Amino acid sequence: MTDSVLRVENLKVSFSGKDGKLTAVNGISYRLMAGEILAMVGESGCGKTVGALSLLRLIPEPPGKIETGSVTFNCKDLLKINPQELREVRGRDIAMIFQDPMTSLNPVLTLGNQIMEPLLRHTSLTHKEAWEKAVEILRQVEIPSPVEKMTQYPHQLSGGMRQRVMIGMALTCSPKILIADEPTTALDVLIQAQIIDLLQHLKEQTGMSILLITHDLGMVTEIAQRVIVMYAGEIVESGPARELFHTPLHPYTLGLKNSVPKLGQKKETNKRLVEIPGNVPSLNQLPSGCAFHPRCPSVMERCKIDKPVLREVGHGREVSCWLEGNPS
Amino acid sequence: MTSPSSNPNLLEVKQLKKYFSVGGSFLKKSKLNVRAVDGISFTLKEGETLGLVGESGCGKSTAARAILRLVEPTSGEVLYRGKNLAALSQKEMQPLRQEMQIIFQDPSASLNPSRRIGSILEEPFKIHNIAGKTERKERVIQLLKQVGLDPEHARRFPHEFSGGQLQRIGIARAIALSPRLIVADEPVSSLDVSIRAQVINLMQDLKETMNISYLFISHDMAIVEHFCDRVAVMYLGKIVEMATSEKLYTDPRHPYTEALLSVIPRMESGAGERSERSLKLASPRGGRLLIKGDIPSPANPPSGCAFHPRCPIKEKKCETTVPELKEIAPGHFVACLLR
Repeated sequence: MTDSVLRVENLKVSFSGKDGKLTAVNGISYRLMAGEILAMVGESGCGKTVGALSLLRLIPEPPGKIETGSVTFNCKDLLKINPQELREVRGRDIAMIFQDPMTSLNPVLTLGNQIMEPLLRHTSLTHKEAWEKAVEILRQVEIPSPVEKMTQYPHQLSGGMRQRVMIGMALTCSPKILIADEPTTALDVLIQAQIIDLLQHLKEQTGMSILLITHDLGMVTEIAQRVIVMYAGEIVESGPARELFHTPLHPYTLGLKNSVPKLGQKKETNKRLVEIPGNVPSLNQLPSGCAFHPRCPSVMERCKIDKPVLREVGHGREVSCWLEGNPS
Repeated sequence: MTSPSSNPNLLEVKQLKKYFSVGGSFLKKSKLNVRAVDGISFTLKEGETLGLVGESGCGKSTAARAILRLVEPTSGEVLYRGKNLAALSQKEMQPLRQEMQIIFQDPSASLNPSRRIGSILEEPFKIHNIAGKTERKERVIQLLKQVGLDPEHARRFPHEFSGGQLQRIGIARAIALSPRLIVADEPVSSLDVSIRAQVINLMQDLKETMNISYLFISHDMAIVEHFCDRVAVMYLGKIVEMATSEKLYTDPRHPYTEALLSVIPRMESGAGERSERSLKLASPRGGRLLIKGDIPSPANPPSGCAFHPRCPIKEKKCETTVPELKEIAPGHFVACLLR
């Protein structure tokens, strides 16, 4: 568990538009350990998806631009290697699944063709062997009557089944890392549970690492070992999932935790939910000092001027806040 | 909290059905019906909040629209303060519409992008011919303040607002005419976590100050428990369980309700460790009750109990006999042959 498979250093990504340059991801650093599920949590616009797409240089350039940083995988910097080498990594060593399985599957190709594509691209399997492997993969992601499904098209499947196919496709070449960008957001609750269960099951079987991007805190506490909380393009807190949600160190994490109603506590707590006031700031008018200060309940004078830096506080935890001790 | 259980009925829905015909053409009448809402009955008391939960395609949104007659129900009665809405003409409906409003899931899709907020909020007063021009403007400012926005926002267009603010505008429009009933169709599911609590709190405040009854449609079980007095669980067009939220969450009787409750993640539990919920049913992996398969198509529902192909405790009779919704304890209704 101590080896890191992916090391991200000081990643900074910006987009240029008519309002000038906007920094979507502002210098984030983290490590993904072997065999762990690392969750990246945040609200819309906090830069979590852009950060993940940049790892494989999947953001459109221009308008996007990776300003600084390095992404080290297998002793190579993914941000520097040539497109040929990058293509070898994509899909084989590092695979990705997206939020909406309908728009990420090709509607005019059969499922069989789509699953076989990475196999034919990255391995030396013959067409027949690839076919058999594809059927086996469908079976692995628990799709009923897989042989039949090989000749079907995406529209013939339900949302949950499509997401299973996506996961299957991502796993074809036994990747070391799976990047899952909001894999259950578009699905119904019961189907969400199925997919989470499947991901966890597959992780245990294959030993791969998963970078899970989500806004669903509940899902995070269920399956992630470590969590990174992002706000306005920066990491505000990180640490082991359990401790992080048990005793949040950053007021934003605490706010997120409290704003979700807890089951079975209706009678004990008062009727109002604890809210985080205000809105997520837009990137072209970020507040001075700490980006969270206008919404922070424990704001101090210093927060309005000085920007806090991410500091280690022991037990594998980091926080970026001027507050000493726990927020209330 | 005052118990609304003794209040008079505001809304009484009896055997409401809404079928959509599919697959027909201009000349050929279709034979296939999608039973989106298939005979649901419930009551909503004054000042009460009833949650309607279920997965997508279970008919909860169609039920809401059929109740407000935004779609014409196929059959059944909707009694609003004793008046059967289904029997009224659209003209007779018009004055009643002031008293019943709806909040939609996606606020950006339900506000006209080319009109200013002020003009959107003035619309209800114009339609119902209430108040003169200057008074309308004042009412709009008052509304904006009431939902926590700034009076100067009246001059802006919808695209200048964030999702949470747009939903506040949607709520302002719904409360403009002081309604008694608001149907809220997934009002917070498109919002960010930190904004959801704000909107729920706002709806709660309005309920108390304006004595509004809500029919609250959602798939988020945790928010429903927090916000609703009673809950009805829908599956494939039918209500499968209905009880006070306290009862339903502590003692669910239908296997479908149990499954919905068991998959709610708890923040308190750590990774890989799920809280020890007193599940009556055994679950295959982990502490969760995993339901296999997808929700079936309402065009071709399974025979007998519609839930039987996914049910972990089904018996032979479930495949043939349709369970009725029966009262197993005072105020607790379940449609299951085995419970």
